Amino acid sequence: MQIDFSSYFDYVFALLPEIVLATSALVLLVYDGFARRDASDSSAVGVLSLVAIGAAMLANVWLMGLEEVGATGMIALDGFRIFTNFMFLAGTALVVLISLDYTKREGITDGEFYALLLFAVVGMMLLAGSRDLILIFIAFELMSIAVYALVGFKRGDPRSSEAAIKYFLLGAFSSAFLVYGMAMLYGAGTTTNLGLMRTTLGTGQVGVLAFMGMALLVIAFGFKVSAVPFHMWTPDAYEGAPTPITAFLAAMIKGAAFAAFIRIFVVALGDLHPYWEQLVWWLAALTMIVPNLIALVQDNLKRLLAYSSIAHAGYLLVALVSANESGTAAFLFYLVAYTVMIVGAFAIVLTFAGKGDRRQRLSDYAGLGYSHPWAAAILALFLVSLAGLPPTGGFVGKFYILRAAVEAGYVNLAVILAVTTLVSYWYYLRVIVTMYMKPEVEAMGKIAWGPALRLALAICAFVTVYLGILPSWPLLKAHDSVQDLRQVAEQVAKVDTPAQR
Amino acid sequence: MSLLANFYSTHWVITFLIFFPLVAGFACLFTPRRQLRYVAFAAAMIEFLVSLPLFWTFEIGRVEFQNSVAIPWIPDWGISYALGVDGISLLLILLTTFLLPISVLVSWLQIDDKEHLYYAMLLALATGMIGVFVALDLFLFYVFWEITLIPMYFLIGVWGHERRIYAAVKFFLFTAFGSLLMLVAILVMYWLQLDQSGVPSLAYGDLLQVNVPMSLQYWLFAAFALAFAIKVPMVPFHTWLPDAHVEAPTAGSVILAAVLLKMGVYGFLRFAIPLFPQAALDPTVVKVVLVMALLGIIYAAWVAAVQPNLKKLIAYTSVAHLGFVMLGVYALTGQSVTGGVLQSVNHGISTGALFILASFLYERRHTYEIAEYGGLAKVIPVYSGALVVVGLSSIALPGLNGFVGEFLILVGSFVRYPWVTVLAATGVVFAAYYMLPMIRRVVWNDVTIEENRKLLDLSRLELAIILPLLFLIVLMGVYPKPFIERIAASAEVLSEQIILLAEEGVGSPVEAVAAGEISDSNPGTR
Repeated sequence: MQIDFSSYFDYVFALLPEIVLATSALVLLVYDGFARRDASDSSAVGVLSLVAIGAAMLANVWLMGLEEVGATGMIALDGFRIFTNFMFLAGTALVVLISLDYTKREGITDGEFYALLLFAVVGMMLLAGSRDLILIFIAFELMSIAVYALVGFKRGDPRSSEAAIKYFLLGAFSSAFLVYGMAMLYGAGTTTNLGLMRTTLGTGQVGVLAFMGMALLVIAFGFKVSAVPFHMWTPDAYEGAPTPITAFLAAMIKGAAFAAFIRIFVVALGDLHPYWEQLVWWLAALTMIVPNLIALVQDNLKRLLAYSSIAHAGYLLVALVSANESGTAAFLFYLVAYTVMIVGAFAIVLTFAGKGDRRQRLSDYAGLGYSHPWAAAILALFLVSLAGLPPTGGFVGKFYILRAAVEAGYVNLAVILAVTTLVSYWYYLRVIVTMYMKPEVEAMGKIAWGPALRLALAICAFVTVYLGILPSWPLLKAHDSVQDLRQVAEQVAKVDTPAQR
Repeated sequence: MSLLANFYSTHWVITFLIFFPLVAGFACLFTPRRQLRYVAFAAAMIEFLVSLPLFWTFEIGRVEFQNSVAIPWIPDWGISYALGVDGISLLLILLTTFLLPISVLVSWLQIDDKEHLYYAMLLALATGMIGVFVALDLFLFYVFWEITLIPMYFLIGVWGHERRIYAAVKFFLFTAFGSLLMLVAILVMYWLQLDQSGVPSLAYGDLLQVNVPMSLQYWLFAAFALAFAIKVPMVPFHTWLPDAHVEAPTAGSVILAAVLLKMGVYGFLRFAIPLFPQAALDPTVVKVVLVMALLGIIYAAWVAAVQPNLKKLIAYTSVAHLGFVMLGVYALTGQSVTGGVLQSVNHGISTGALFILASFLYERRHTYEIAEYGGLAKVIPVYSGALVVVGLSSIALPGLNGFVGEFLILVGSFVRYPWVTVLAATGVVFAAYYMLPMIRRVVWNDVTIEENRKLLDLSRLELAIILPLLFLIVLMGVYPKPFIERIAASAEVLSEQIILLAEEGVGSPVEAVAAGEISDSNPGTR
């Protein structure tokens, strides 16, 4: 089927997964309102949201058969969008799976939890797929607002509220930066369409306006992906948020913001690489160095993983600043690997924490390697993968990023990545040391992990190992998805340049 | 029969040797406790027996890799599952598989806690070690190289002595530091290869063809050499080793000394020197490396001489021996390289045996302090005899294995670096200076501590552990020919090629690059 964006009706087809998901989320809200509350359980809504995600995935499969006429629509129909859509949907399914146990345990009976998750995913999918600044902003807000609410979802818990307030205030700032930056880029490029902007801004001199626009956008995205020095909110928000939401924040939100970051900078502003390269270079270097050092002294596992996730944003920034095909493909591959390992790690933390999220300190993990061998072994696997040791997905992903950096000539960043990785070994090992080499202080007793949680963990563990041992097919997919990203951008440039002149 | 012949003429034997321990280790996790140690031993024994025929199926004098294979693994990246055995790796593989059942038996005596995990880790370690020695793709090599880290880290950290966690983390971080920089260097090589041939590949053979510009070559060599020098370990990167050795459980010490250190030597011979011959044989670089090797030989010997702790003493003798090995490797004559590889194996056997004997004492008295012993010859004569033989082999007494290796190294190196060799030869004297007083204080003298009078001599199990080692010590000392001839062909060709490349390189690649730059900038000059 062909999609022609000059007919507005075709947007319905192009946006089918998002429409399916948004509709389901609304239906879930209504359903939850009318459902009887005495069940004191929101898992029915959770299961239904899984169905909705499944339907959206099917729609996304259907999307693969579509062809585009021209490339100036507000929404992209390329491999990049389809890949990231699958990513976000699958990742959210994992988060829903681990939430099923969590909501039951923590007594979160409101089904809005899942509806909000779905809204956030719609925002993320639009963010990664949009080819227009306006749509990017709307998607950015849709995603953020849903997540602000989710972070503060445990209303009885002051830490949760604190996290939500911090996240909201700084998030609002970042939105402001985003919109200012967009306005300036619009002023400089006279268009909000990313495809056209490549031509209008790519030729000739870059003025102050465009430069400031870029800088402001870097700041806004820096906030969302928690790049140093815009990372201050991250540890607090991650620590206070309900743990499944922490995993959601760490993996999916970051991924979505990065996807838009790449669409704007690597694709639309790719020709201006010399202008923004310095800025992002420093961002990447700092984001690798600072959190890895701070994480060394963390005693709370959730905070430790929060700093680890900031550091991973640094690695992804290296892929971004490389701004070549392998860089973008490396981003996609790494995002998959990173999502499964960080979601898996948070899921284990959630399991061990027990009711009320009490046991999160490192000392609580002493001796767990023997009293809870399975859970500890899986956590060790995720930590090894986060550390980037073979044979795990984390290693192959890091290898890919390093390759992209070396290809683009950023050997210095590659060395920084290698050395900071070494530093990170220390704190990942510290957890393993505690679990396996220290005697148990206080018996943890039986841990409660329902079938849903175990399924999610099994998937995460399997994918982590699979990506490490047989990465060839996913690598190919990541590579192919990026192909038409560049093609489209260049095509637009070719088509429109004569018309402009 | 043909099936079996086929097994040994193709890569399947190597593939089996790599993955069987991993599977067996995994099975150990689920084996009932009562059968566990037998299952682990059976697995290790199978591994050894399967590997043993390689010694005879290996074609002597053939220079190419044998049992080789290259199966595409990540085809888009040109990464393949490429394996091969040559004279340099053959004996190291066999050493690994030979020590595996012995380490399991030693662990029977020592490990009575968390045994499932222990045997799983011990066996998984073999996967990484054998993989390192046969991998002919740098990606694969790196994967195996890193895989050895985690099991060893666990062995030291969980079943070690008091300061085990410190030692384990130090071991891990030191090694990882080198290997991460090596990873960046591997990627630069990858990129150069892609740039020059247009097809991505990390295969060993392809990388040898890469023309590395001189400016980069020093950096890349430094990154590789650092990783390997830490592993060897060469002075001054050796500080992790005494800690790791002292704290590790016996089997861990044995494998660490016998095999893991040899990975560094092997890395120099296989990768660091052949890939960057000009940088490696640059006079300044050679000087630095030789000084480091000499420092290892002499300084470590002196340090060893004053150690009150038996295990620490043995650890420092390792540093000294590895200094010899590095001298042989770096002298790059056929003889010296052969000697280096042979001495690697010898050191593995002798030092392994020393660690095991030390642990036997520890089992009896729970101390490694040399001063706690004395006059053991009268109390436990069989044990004392074994200790004397192993100690003499370690200081290279003619007729025992250590002599053959050191002699080859010294003879081979003398041709190239006479003065260095003369200095290194003094190391042999120092070796006697640390080993003989130790033996005297432990074995001879009078019994000064009452407890020592009641010690029991070697049990049957202990005899079963130590006899194979003693047998090899004598065999390789008396009749080293079969061992030497398996190494020699590869060692000679390798050293000749490197020297040739380096000499060629003194002029040509630099000139070629320079000429290329000139012709690029001024098209008219040619």
